Amino acid sequence: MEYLLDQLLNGLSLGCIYAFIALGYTMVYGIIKLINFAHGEFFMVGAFAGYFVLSAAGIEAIGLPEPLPMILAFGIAMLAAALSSGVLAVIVERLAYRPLMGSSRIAALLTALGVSLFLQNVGIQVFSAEQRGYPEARRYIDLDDAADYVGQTFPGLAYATFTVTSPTGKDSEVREILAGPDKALTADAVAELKYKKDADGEPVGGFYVSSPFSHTAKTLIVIVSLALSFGLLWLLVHRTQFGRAMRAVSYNPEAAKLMGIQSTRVISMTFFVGAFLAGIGGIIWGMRYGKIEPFMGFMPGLKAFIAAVIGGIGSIPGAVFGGILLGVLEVLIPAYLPSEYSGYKDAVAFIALIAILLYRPQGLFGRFEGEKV
Amino acid sequence: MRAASLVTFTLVLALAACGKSDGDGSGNGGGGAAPAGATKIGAVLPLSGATATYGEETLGGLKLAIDEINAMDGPKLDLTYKDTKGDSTETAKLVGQLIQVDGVKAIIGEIASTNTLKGAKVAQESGIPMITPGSTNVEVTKKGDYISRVCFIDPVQGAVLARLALNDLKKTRAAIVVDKASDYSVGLADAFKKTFTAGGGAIVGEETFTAGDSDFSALITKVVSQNPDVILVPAYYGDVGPMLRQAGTQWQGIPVLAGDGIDSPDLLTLMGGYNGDVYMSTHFSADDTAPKVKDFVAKYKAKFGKAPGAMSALGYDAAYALYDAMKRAGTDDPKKVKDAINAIKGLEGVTGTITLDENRNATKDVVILKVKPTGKEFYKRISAE
Repeated sequence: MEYLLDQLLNGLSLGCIYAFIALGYTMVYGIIKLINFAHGEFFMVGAFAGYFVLSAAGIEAIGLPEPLPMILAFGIAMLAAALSSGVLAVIVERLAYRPLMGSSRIAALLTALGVSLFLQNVGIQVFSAEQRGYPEARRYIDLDDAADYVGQTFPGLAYATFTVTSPTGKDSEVREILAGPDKALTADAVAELKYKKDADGEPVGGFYVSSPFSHTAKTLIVIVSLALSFGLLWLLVHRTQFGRAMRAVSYNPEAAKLMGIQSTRVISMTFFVGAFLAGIGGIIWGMRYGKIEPFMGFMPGLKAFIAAVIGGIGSIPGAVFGGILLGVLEVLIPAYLPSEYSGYKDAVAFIALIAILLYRPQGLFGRFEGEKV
Repeated sequence: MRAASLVTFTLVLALAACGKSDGDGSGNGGGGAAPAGATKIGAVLPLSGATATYGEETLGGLKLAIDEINAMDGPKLDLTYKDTKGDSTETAKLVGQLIQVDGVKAIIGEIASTNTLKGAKVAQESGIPMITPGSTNVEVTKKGDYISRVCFIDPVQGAVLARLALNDLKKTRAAIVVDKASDYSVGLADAFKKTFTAGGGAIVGEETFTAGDSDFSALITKVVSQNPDVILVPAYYGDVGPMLRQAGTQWQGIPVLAGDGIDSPDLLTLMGGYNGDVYMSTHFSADDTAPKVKDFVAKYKAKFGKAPGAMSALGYDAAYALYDAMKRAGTDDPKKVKDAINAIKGLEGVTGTITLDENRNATKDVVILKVKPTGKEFYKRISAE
């Protein structure tokens, strides 16, 4: 029973992240009938934006009372992640999709695939293909105060970052671990830090102490942020002027235009909101699973697409339900299969896709629309 | 529309420029220019991608060794290295390129067995000796007599880990988490199983994952439900690190064993303060007090600003193995150098005393390190037999 419960929670938090991505798929499809395969890459860019903000944020150094700096750092990182995904989506829409408006659906679909590949490769160029460990919440200790901590151990890691020249001749940032749960901080380690330089050639002024969230806390953060985002999205779609315009464009773009709705702006905003959510999904993914790399958007993007189809593409509650259902299935089925089949977990999603297309192609929450002749 | 295409065009240009300035990850080795009459040798290493730290460390060891070699009497070396991006097809292509275009007389690389296997085929067919510093899969040197290595093989590593579990840790119920797509992972797991069950241990579960997976939560919970007293994860640090981080306290009290695939400086960052018992079998310990090793560690630190890893040490030894063979052969003729490499006996390296057996595998001791949240420490040395 406890095993089932644990696995359910694992599935639920995976499903919540799928839902974050699926929302963008479903919104974009709902409004311009485009399956935006580049959506997984918006998610990746969000995760990286969050990574850079969390690794660089100097908020810890300002000296606010705990745990304010931590919450602020994550808040800012989340906003940066969401905004950079959102802005990227608007740019992609303007450059790649809008010129194709009115052409065949296949052309738009292929363009989306092209954009996806393009962004993955830009990701490799810009971020490099290596996997990065996602930063944990942390606090900053100035070298002047370091003496107070000498002899202490920490629940997380105490580390400093500085720059060295790697064998390939490039300057690279290294992280030196000074202390942790098993090792107390020594006066020597602190003394040695004074001679290190950071990326700008400035002396290193202090070090960080990470305080990792517990497994349960992470699961909770994932679920709560999805619930909040979904609630806000629902309000946006059903209770605001913009939401009404969005629904109007989705229902009948021509008629909406005649009623004075600027459909291009609405479409642009829809891309922004969808990718905004994907960006939040990206940072939550990094925090929950601990690593990011430029190809990270591909599989979750594909799964989220399946989730959107299961829920009924175009339906917002459908995307959330589909995402959660897919996450739970993907965890629970291998959990009860004999060990030698546990490698088939990715197959679960695709079998679910085939099943839904065969028996209920409009999805669980979708409406069946007859082809207009 | 016009503006849009203009922006796209600029973007593409900017990207092209980006790619150019970054280079293709290749370059020439050594500190200064290679001396006149130096023999051209090539290296294929993963300098980017999921195993990038291996490439970087190996390159550091190679460069250090070549600088020393070129300052001594005897054959001189001129290194050209290429970035495989950790990809097997790319490795095969680059080995061909080094031989055909750059005209190298010997090749050092790759690290991951899957990649070396592909590259070795090309080297063997071209009759150019290839020494792999760190590929431990048994099949690698079976590609032919031009392929050799300065490290031990997975059956040795797997057996040593099994003996560590049985004899030192006194464990009898092992769960295995294996990457089915990796030759290294499967080979290591098989060797472990054989020795562990022969010694009276039981395998209580064997879970699989695919390299690059992100969510290990279901797997972690499932392993706990199998109630093992030891867990073997024969995989690379890019997967093992995040897996341990996600395990958090769930695997507390159960020792985790892994091979040299996790011996990377990035492991500690990726596992993010995981505070359980983790043991790894590897080639080298920077804490070793042997004078040769201490000297190597000091020189490496002075040159690159950080302590050498196992791959640095293997890269260093691989370069010396080549130097030793060329010196004995008295020529850089690939065929004669190959024969000299295969006859390497009692070569004192920083990873131990290297003797190549009839299958061109190095026989030497296995080092067991204990991984703590803040660093690795020497645990014990276990002989291969």
